[in-house]
Amino acid sequence: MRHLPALLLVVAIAYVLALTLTEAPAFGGLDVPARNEVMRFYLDEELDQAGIPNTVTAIIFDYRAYDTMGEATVLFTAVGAAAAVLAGHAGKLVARPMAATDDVILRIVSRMVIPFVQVFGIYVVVYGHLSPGGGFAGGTILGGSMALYLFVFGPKRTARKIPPAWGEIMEGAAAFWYVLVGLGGVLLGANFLANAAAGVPLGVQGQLFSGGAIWLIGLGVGVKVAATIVNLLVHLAGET
Amino acid sequence: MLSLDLFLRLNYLASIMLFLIGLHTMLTHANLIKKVMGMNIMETGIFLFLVSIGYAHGTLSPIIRQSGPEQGLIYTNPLLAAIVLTGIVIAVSTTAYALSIIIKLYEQCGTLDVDRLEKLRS
Repeated sequence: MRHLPALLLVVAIAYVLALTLTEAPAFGGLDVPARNEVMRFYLDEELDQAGIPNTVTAIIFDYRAYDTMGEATVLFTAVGAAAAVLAGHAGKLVARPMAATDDVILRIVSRMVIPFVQVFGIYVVVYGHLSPGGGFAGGTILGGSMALYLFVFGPKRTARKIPPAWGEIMEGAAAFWYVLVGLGGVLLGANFLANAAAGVPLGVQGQLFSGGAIWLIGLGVGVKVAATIVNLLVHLAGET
Repeated sequence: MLSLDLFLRLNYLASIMLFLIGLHTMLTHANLIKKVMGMNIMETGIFLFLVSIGYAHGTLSPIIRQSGPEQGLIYTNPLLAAIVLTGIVIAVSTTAYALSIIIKLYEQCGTLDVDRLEKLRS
């Protein structure tokens, strides 16, 4: 009988949250407390300091690049921990390993769709500093295309197309690449992961190769997130 | 009066509902995978709340069009988008790790029911 205590707890939390709701500012107004001087600083100064139009990418890959490195490490640790937990899960009690689908329509449609999804993912990674997107979003799209391949064609064929060692090497190399770009700032005489402050040329605003280190970091994060998703799914799908 | 207020705060209300649905799912369901689903629903509620704080009516996406502070263009708050990105990464990591532990647990114990797992231990 855990239903009654659970319901009571949920009702109590609902009451507290409903009280805060009556005090909350109206949705979509310009007087929300979050629209403060920090937001104004980023919106006003970002284009001159980081040299790219996309403010969100500038925040995560330039102003808070160190924090984003920690975030990438969290993903890295999650994959490592999942691999460690699942090591040698040959699956005695698991009914059967994930198999390829027999559905012809699914196979043909996914074969047609996957290249377009991958091109779009690469576009989102590479143009993440100019238009909405970035390393995380594009990497997820790229990883999603490979996840579709895994679900449709099964782990065996996926392991032939993308050998598991490749995924692990790509992931480690991308994490190392991030640190190397950061150390580039130190070599140029500024802080770790410094971009414009270290004298990295920002290029012409609006061009593909602009924003200095942001573009390099975004590329590394895109590769890393795609490799993370593939590695995770391969581990979860079981031994090949 | 109250109904009008709630209508103005519909996004916050929806995020609270999602949070509570997820919490209730986590507390009442015995299946571990459903608990992970509940955790994900809770996280979705929090992401909706953060994104709703950042949004304002009639604003542009934070892709800066012109340099300088006085440009007459009002943008959506970019900070909340960056925070939600961090949150999504953490959510993916915790979900993946939880699912891998669940797979191992099912292999070892043959069940995902919390009550039966507790009986197995004693």
